[in-house]
Amino acid sequence: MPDKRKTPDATRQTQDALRLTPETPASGVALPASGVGRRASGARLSARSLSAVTNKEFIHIRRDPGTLIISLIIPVFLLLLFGYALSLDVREVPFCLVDQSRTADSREFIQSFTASGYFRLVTSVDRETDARALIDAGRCRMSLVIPPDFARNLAAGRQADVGLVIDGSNSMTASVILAYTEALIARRSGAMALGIRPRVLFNPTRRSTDFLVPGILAIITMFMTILLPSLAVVREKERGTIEILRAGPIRPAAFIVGKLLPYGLICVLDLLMVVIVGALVFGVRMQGSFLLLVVMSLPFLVAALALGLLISTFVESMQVAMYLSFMVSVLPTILLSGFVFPIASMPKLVQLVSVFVPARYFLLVVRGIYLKGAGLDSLWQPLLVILLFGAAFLGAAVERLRRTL
Amino acid sequence: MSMAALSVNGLSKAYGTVNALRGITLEVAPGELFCISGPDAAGKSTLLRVLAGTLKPDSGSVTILGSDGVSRPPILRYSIGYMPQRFAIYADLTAEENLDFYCAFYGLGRQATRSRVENLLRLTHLEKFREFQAGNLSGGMKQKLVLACALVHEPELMILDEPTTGIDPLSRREFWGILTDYLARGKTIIYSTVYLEEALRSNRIALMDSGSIKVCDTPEKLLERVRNRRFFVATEAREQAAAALNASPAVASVQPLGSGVAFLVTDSAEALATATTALTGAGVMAKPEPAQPTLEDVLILAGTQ
Amino acid sequence: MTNNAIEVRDLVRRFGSFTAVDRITFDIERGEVFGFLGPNGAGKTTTIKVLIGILAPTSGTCRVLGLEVPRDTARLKQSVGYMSQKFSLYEDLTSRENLRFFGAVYGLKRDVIGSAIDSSLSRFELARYESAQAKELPSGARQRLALACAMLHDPGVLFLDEPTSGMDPTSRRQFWEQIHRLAAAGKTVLVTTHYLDEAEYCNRLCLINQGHIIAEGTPTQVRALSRTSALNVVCTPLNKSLTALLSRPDLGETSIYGGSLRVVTPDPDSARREIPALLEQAGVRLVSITSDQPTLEDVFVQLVRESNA
Repeated sequence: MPDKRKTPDATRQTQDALRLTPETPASGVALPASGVGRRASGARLSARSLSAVTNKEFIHIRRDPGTLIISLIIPVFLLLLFGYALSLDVREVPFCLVDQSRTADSREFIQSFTASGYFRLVTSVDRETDARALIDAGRCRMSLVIPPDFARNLAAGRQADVGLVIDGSNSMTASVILAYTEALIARRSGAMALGIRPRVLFNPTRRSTDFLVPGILAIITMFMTILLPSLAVVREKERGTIEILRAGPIRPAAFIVGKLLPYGLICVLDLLMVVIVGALVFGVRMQGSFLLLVVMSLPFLVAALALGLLISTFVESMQVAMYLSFMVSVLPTILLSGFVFPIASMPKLVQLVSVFVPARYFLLVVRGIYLKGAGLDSLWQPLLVILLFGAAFLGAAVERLRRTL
Repeated sequence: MSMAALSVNGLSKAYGTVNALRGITLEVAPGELFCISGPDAAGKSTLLRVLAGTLKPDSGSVTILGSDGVSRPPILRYSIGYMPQRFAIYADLTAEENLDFYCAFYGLGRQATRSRVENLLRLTHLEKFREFQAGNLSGGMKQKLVLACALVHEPELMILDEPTTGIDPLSRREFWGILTDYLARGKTIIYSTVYLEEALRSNRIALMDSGSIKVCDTPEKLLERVRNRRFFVATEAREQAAAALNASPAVASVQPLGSGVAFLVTDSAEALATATTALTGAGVMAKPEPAQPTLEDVLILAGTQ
Repeated sequence: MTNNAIEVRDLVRRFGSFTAVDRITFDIERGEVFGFLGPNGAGKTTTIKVLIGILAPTSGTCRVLGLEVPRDTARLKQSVGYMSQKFSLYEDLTSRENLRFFGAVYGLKRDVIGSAIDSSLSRFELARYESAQAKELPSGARQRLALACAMLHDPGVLFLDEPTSGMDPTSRRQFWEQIHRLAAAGKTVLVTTHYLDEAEYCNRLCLINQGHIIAEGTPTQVRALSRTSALNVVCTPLNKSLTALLSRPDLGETSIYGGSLRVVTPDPDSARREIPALLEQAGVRLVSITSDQPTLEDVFVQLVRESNA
């Protein structure tokens, strides 16, 4: 403990410490007892307050390894996870064969199946019932039944029917299998050359990840932008420091912008990462420009950040903030935005609910830019809806903050 | 300076059915050290929050440094320093980073920030701890840091809500040393406390209870009200003495202490004699001696209990 | 058998190279209210933890109710109660539920626990808050409830770590009345506090700084240990006088006291001599200088500073 018996010099230092700069402590602005116009430097001072809040927020983020991990690693992780695992593609579908024709024609036909790479012959059986048993046992997903009159019909120029039994328990892949086989058969019957070049003809791989990457972008953006600000504000509430800020010279709106700016920046960074990883790992290249993507994403970022802020006004602890953010962002986005399940195929009531999911419109924008290189002219409608959402959430958040904090 | 630093008139604030503030009226002169004390839920915090501008009153007027305290022009916000309850500090920022933040927040230029931060670290003896995250500092150091952060912009008016609750006596002394230095420069300080000894170290005290100010006067005048009313009898037989005194109509309150019993007599000439008789009747022969009155006694006699 | 509820002999506790408690020795009699004072980090909490048995001494011996800690801690569990400054109440449980919980923790039998809770509620004036959740209680009632929970198993020795932190004066006074009633019933109470006016409530005090005992005795005895005295300086104008006196910290510590200044000084005589000249030089009118008894806090601060120097 330092000795309190200060020398007179030390005391003067203390007095000076408190006296500091004489009349103009702050950047050239006097602190008067009566109102003195500070219009000229008002904007500069406000900017300084705002940037102070932003810089502080960056320090908090740096010091909180959890937030850092969430914001930088999870997006890429999700992308890889969804990209590889959520495969709508089918490859090497195991099938069994019932060739009751046993002709050169039937063998040629079978060859076109196996050569495509999408189907893999597991075994050959004599009867259809045996084939069905194999499907039931799970040893194959499909059975191809070539009837005895196959070659005869072909030679006679008649339609040659072929029987297919597809394991429908996974309806999505079943329909894809059906599509493949129909296409194969169509081609075969059109007497085109065998030796399918799947990429050119089908492009199913590309389609599904093309399909997925923009959707993942939307999910990640939505999740990050909602979660991070709610954590940030709740963290501030937990400390009591927010009282001091409220007593101080910053407008609530400026405070909000200052606090959200770092998270907005992080989200743009996340966008970039997803685009890069999507291109490098999955070969999904964006048709439109990245700049356009960022600019068109901004309204959505603002809307989602505002939603995150709104959530934080209702919530007292960080855990609840996280759960609520997850429920409000990730779940509806995955299920209702058209990310995986087409909206058109949802029940009417659910379709109505999906109208209120902001990510649905963001998905249209992102997919438009990614897949079609679309611009403002074709995307202004979803953009408008997003702007409306943004205005609503922002207004609600500011109002709540003004009242509750 | 004839203008009051702070003037409140008919201030009221209710939370649902609870009347936190009922028509508070008070004036604080420039350069005054003003204390607000009282029991729990008296409205002390609520009043300070209205003064700091973080709460809007339902009715009444507030004038601070000549400006309207309700509409609160920006200038006013630069002239007030506020320390809310609890350790209002950024735990994951270092001491220095906390100070840097507030300097920037109040619009100080880079050079001013550098010199001010250095000075404040020196003043609060926290130089050696500048790189420590604030959450790792002891309670006393934290509170000194919070005070330093509230002083960066040299506010004319300081508002402190129970600033020394939970910190040890030594840190409390240091804290008050810094505040007293600040006061000597003509600044106005209004603070609340539940520690009555701390309340006495002020120019004037307002004792609040249930949303109203019950008494407001200098410490001397408040204690004068209870002069010659407090006595202490040193005895081992504390229980008997306390019981006898409690039963006596001449006694307003009884307080058993470590080495005897202190008590307050009512405002009558024979009160002491009556009380003494009650004591001897209970077998306590020791003579009651006059004792230093405390603010608590004022509270009790003002009927706030 | 000794009349001491607590005996500490040459207690040392080190944490690595840091010595938290450096050979302290003291006794506490049964039925005594013992005040354990000291700055933060002085070793108070460490000592209490050793006495409760959750820390082992590096050397030295401690006895509570005749049993040695930490060796016999298990046997002492029923006889020792502890209330920490963090209240340790469950916020969303009612008073009754909190008490029931702690009763179960202390191993009170089912048939006993009901009546123990009822008598606690009435003893600590909590009957009206029986069904209120702990978070809804006013601070005075909360602390009483925390005390009730620590006392449910009727321990002979009670350790209270800053039990009145943040409480308002009335509640504190009532709390201390409660403590005294317990002491009168033969319970031994060791209390730490940062409110030195509460030190007056104690039978005896012990002041610790940097692991050593620097003062011990009744409040009166401790007060007499320091030469510190207080001077009431009435002068005008107040602000100028304050600046003048603040410029001479070697004379003493100056603070506001109503309409006058209070100077707490270890050397009242030289202060009395020098202050008039100092004030005159500052152009201030001196009305009077009178002596005043130092508060226990003044003495405490002075003793700690002296021991640090």
